[in-house]
Amino acid sequence: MTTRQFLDRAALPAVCAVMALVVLAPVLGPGFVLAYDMVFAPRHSLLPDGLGLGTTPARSVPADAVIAAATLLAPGDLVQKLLLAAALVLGPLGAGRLVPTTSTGTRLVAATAYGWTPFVAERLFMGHWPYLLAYACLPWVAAAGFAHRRGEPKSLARLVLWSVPAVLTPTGGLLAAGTALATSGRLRVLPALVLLNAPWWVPSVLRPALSTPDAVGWFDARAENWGGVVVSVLGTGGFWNADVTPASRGLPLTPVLTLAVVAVAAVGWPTLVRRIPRAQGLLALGGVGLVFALAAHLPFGATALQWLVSTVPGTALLRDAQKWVAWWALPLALGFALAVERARPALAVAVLLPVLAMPDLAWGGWGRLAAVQYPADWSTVREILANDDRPGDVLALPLGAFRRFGWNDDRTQLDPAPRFLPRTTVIDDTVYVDGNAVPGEDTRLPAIREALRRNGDLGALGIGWVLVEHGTPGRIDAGTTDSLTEVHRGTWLSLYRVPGPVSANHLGPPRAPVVAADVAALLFVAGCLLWQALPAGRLIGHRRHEE
Amino acid sequence: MGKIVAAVVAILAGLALAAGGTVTLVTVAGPDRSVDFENAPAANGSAGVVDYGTSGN
Repeated sequence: MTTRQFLDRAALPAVCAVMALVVLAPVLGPGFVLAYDMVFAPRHSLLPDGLGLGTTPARSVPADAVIAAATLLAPGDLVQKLLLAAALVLGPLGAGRLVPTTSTGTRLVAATAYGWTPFVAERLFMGHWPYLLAYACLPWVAAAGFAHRRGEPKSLARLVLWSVPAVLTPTGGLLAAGTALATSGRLRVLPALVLLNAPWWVPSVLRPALSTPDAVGWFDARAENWGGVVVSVLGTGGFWNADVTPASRGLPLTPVLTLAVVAVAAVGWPTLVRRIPRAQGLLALGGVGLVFALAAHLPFGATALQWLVSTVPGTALLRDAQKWVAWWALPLALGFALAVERARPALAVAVLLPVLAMPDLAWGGWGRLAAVQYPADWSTVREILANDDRPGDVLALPLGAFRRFGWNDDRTQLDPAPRFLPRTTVIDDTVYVDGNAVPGEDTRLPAIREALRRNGDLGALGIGWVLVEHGTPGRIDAGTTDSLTEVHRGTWLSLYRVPGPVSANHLGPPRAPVVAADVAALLFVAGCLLWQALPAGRLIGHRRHEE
Repeated sequence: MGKIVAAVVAILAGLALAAGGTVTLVTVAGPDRSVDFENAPAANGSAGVVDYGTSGN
C-alpha cells in the first residue's frame, strides 16, 4: 500500500474520530454526563423495569438491561463515554462508506453532512443517546440492506447485527427496521426484524399504555427560526424542546442555508440512484420521515395523532414526531456529497460547511454537557439498600421525574435513583412542559400518591423504603416522613425505612412471555454472530455464485 | 453543473462562516447570565416542579 493509499483510507476514520473528539472532549474525563434523559450510574442493577417487567412503559427496554450487563464489565462512566463516542463516530463513518464514490473528499463531505447535524446536536443535548446510537447504525443497516438486495452471502446476518445497537429502544428499533425494509426491498427480512425487536414490543403489547392527547401539541416539531417548522425539519432540526436547540439554529441565515443545502442534495440524488439502483427506497424513506415529523402540522394531522395516542396503545411513540427525521438525514447527506463531487474545488469547503453553520455543537455544546461525580450520599444509600434483607421497593421524593441538583450545575436531569439504586425505585413519571403536566403512565403511582396524601400505609403498596432527594425543586409534606424510620441523613439524600410489613407487589406484565422474547432475541443475535463468524455462509454463497 | 454547485457551496460556506462566527463570538464573549441577577429569567423549578423543557408550540 502506498502512502497515498494509506492516507486515503485513514482520512475518513480520522475525520470521524476528530469530529467526535471536538464534541466530546470536555466530557471525556472521569464522571457522568447527566442531562435531561441521559442517566448513567457507576453500576446499574438488572431490575424488572429494565426488561419491561415493571409498571412503567417499556421506553428504555432493553437499554437498561444491556447497560446493567455492561456495567458489570466496566464502570458506568466509561460505558457512557464509549457509547457516546461510538454513536458520534459510527454515524459519519457509515455515511462516508455508504456514499457510492471513489473520491475520499466526497466521503468526507457525506461524513460531516451526516455526523454534524441539528438532529445530532439536539438529541445529544437532550440526552437521547439510544437515538444517537440508532442514527449511527442507519448507514450500516442501509449498506447491509443494499447488500441483501444484491443477494450477497451473510448480508441478512449483517443487517441484523447492525440493527442490534438500534433496538435498545422502541424508537431506535423502528428506525433501523424502516431502513432495513427500504433498502433491502424484501419483506422476508420482516420476521427477523420482528424477532430482534421482541424485547420491547412483547412487554409493550402485554402492558399497553395510552397518552394524553394534549401531549401531541407539546412534543411535535417546532419552528426554530423564521423559516417555519417545515424548513427547520428539512434541516434535520425542529426538536420540540427549545431549551436544547443550538443558538445557531435561530439565526436569520439558517433557513437560507438549509434550503440551499437541500437544493444541492437534490442535484446529487439522480447520481445516487444511478450508482445504487435500490437507493429510491432510501429516498422514499426520507420522504416518509419528513411526513411523520411534520404530521401534526398537516391538515387534520394533529387531530389524527391526538386520536391515535389516546386510543391506540403504543402510539405514544408518535408524540415526539421530529425523531423520524433521522430517516431524512441519510439521503440528504448522500445527495449533498454526490452533488459536491462534481465541484471538486469546493470539496474542502463542503466538508467544513456543517461545522461552520452550527459551531455550537462543538465542545459539548459550549458547556451544556459536563462530566460530574455523584455525591458520596448516593453510594452510601446504595450500599444500605444492597446489604439490607428487608423486602420492598424504594419511593423517590419529592414526586417528579426530573431533578436539578447543585452538584450538577442545576442541569435538568432525569432522577438517577431508578438506575443508581439496587432495588426497583418508583418515581412520579408525570412530566411538566411549559408548566403543563403530562400525566405519567406508571400504574402504581395513583395509589402511592393517595397514600402519601392520607399518610397511608406505603408498605401495603410494596414500598419498603423512602428516598428523599435534597437540593432539587419540589415539596414534601412535613408529616410524610414522621412515621418512617430514618436510616441515613446526608446533604443530598435521606433514606427512610417504612415500618411494618411490606407486601410483595407484581403488577407488571406476565414474566414468561417477556423472558421468552428476551431469550429468543438473544439466541437469534448469537446465531447471526455465528453465521458471520463461521465459514458455512461463505461456502453456501460461493456455491450460489458458481451456479 | 459542477461550477454552479461549487459556487453555491462556496457562497453557503461564506454565509455559514459569518453566521457560525457570530454564534461563537456571542457565546464566548457574551455576559455570564449567572451573575446577571436582576434580569435573570425565573429558574426552572421555581414553581416547585422541574420542567422537562420549553415547547415552542
